Amino acid sequence: MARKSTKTSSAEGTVYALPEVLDLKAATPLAEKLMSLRGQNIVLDASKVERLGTQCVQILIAAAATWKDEMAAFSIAEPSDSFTSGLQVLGLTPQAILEKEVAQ
Amino acid sequence: MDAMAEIRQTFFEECAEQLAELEAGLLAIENGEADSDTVNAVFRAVHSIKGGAGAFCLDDLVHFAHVFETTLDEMRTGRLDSSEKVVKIMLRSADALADLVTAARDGGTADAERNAGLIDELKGLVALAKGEEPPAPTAAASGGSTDGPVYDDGMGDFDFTPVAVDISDLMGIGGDNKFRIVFKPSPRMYAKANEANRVLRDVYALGEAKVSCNTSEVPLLTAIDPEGAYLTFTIELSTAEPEEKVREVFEFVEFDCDLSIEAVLDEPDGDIEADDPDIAEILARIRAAPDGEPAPEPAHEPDEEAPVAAKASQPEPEHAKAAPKPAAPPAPSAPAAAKADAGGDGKGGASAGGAAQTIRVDLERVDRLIDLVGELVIHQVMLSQRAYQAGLARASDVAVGFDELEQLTREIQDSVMAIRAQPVKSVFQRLPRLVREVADISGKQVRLVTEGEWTEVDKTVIERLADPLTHMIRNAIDHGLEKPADRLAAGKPEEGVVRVAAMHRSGRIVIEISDDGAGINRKRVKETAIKKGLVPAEANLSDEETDNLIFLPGFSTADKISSLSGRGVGMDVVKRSIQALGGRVSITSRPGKGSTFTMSLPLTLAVLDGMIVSVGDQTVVVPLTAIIETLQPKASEVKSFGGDARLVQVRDTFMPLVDVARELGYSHDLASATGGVAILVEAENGARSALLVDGIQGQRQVVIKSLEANYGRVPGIAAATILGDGRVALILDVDAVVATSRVEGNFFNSGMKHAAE
Repeated sequence: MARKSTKTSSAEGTVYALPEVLDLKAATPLAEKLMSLRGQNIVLDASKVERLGTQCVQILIAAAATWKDEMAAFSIAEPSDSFTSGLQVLGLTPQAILEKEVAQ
Repeated sequence: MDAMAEIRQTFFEECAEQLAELEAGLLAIENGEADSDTVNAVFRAVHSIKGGAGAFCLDDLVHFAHVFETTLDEMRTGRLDSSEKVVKIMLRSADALADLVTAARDGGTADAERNAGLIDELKGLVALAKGEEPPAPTAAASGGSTDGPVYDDGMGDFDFTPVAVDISDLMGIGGDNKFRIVFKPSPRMYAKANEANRVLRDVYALGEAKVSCNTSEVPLLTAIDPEGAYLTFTIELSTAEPEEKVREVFEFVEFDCDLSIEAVLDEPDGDIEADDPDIAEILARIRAAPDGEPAPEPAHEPDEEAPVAAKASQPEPEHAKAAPKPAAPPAPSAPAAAKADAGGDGKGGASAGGAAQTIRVDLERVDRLIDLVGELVIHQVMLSQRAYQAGLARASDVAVGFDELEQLTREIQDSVMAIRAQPVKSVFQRLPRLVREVADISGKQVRLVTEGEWTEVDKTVIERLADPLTHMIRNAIDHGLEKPADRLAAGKPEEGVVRVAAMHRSGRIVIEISDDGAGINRKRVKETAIKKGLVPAEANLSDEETDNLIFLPGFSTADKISSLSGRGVGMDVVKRSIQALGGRVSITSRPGKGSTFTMSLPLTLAVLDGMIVSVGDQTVVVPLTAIIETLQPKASEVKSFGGDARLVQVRDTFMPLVDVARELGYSHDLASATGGVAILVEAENGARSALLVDGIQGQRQVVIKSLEANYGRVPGIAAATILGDGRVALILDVDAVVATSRVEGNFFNSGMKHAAE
């Protein structure tokens, strides 16, 4: 499982390429990774995602809410088919993730 | 036993059940009776074993089960055809899995080399199935890890549109039942490697589903537990399947999530889509309440305009996955239900629904209950007899009450017996493997057909049925069926058929084992019997008598009918063990067409049909199964013979007259033969004798009480019972009585009579 964590900067902010496999085991590393990127504008490159587990979706939702709370830009770029269909199965869309209101 | 060992034991018990399910399912697939339910059941069985094995760190088992499961998943999704070759590999894998379970339970090792070979074969099947597919990112068959199949990513080709999915038009079914499912996974569910999306995809496969996800509980990233569970899914499902089917999807996760499944009526759709899910739920509940069942409704039109509706435009993987389900009409449970009917019990039907509720109870407790109910029956009879003796009028209210009480106690007794009753399936399911193994060894092609596997019989009977049945099936294949070449030459299909059928017949269970082989080679049998000195060389035997020669002790497998190597067990052993259960066995054989062995056994060993007879001033019970007929001997028919021995002439044969009172030591004088009744009995070895008793009181079902447990062993007595008047009556051990009385008694016609039975 090659996880790509290449970071490149673009106009919108830091680009973080999501790993190919976002399953149960990827949840904690993903959360840590996103925590480390806090405070900067971020673009999640979802083009490589092949598998999307429910817990990683939760983390993405939490991240979107967190970024919103901190008034930083958060976006998902080039969602792969697997990524969107993975969300779709859960009754979600990339848009729905980004629109998550801040809890609490 | 510590808690862990207990859980472990439960696991292995469940493994046994799952393995049975697995085997049954695979056989159904082999016979072309498979529907998606079967495939799913097979898959679940392996999956459950794997899950449990993972908890106990049984790595070999997990690894093998995983590969097996992956292959089954291909079958489940329809990518792998259930061709004969595939099923054969799967059956062998099922055997290997059973071995692994046994090895894990009892220690020892399974055949690692064979398993490795099977793993390769299974992986080959997966590769074959995936041949047309885009390569999977990580092979699910990598083995060892428990999460492979759960993360199967066969969803890759779904096109995207907002929020909900509508694939009903792809699958060509209109949903008749509507359900509102609220599904909130708990962290435990994920911890067990169950994925919410997997479950949801199974729901999609049932029909038209709209899923909405409530994300309001997801906290900020700072507060999130990466392995927590924060999402709640509300699914509006419209499906042709009944509620049980829907519940089945959640079977694996139901204890690890908050789940509510409610039937929804059609009309209030709009209302139910109310913003507040709580109100909607209440509404749904109110509407569902009047009939409790999912209400039938007109075919549902997919709601194209709804902003949440979506279309899946690239159906391949999902469609393939979904197709088997809708392809199965509500009919699949019908064959199973029919089988259940054959068993005369609802149990089969319940398990066909897949949601039979069962509890595990210590056998000891059940036996104690049965014992107590036996006492209850005895006391009830005693009480009413006493009351009548005391002058109670038959027409009085109290007498009516007694009648009702009697009926009630009978019913209680029947119900309690039913607790011990089990379908013979538990024995039958061991047979396919036996048949495969024997067929392999003997180089024959055999198909096993079982019928009436839901027929129920007492657990003790079942346990003791396994051995004779095994021997008889071995014999059927080894001796009964011809070699493939011989079969072809005889104009029969290469593959021989062994049929095992169970049925209830007049209060007994009858098991027939038939083959379509060459039938019994009577000439050969007779020659062998003559050579062994079992029958006189000049004996003129009927076909039936010849067939029955194979039951003679001494007609050993060393001199077999076929020239095959000796694996069988003497049929006399089979016959004896069946008779020990109070059963009988008989043969019918047609040359060139095959043989049928018929076993008839009592349904329970706790009660017995007996003839109540008087012997001296004692009351004795003679088991009805041993009795052939009763007669009153005339003086002219009774011949003295040697010292005290007597013979009685019954039609054209003589048989020893056994004076029961004398044998049991009730009296020392010879009873008058003409003053009593002669009961013709057949002993286990087929020898007939006449038991002389003073009189017959009647025929009744009696509750068997062990004499050994309560008093001690008495020769000539099998057990005891308590009669209505509170007296203990002894149950005669017919064999022992006849055997001890035997002088050179049946000298005249012993050989023939042995043979005749």
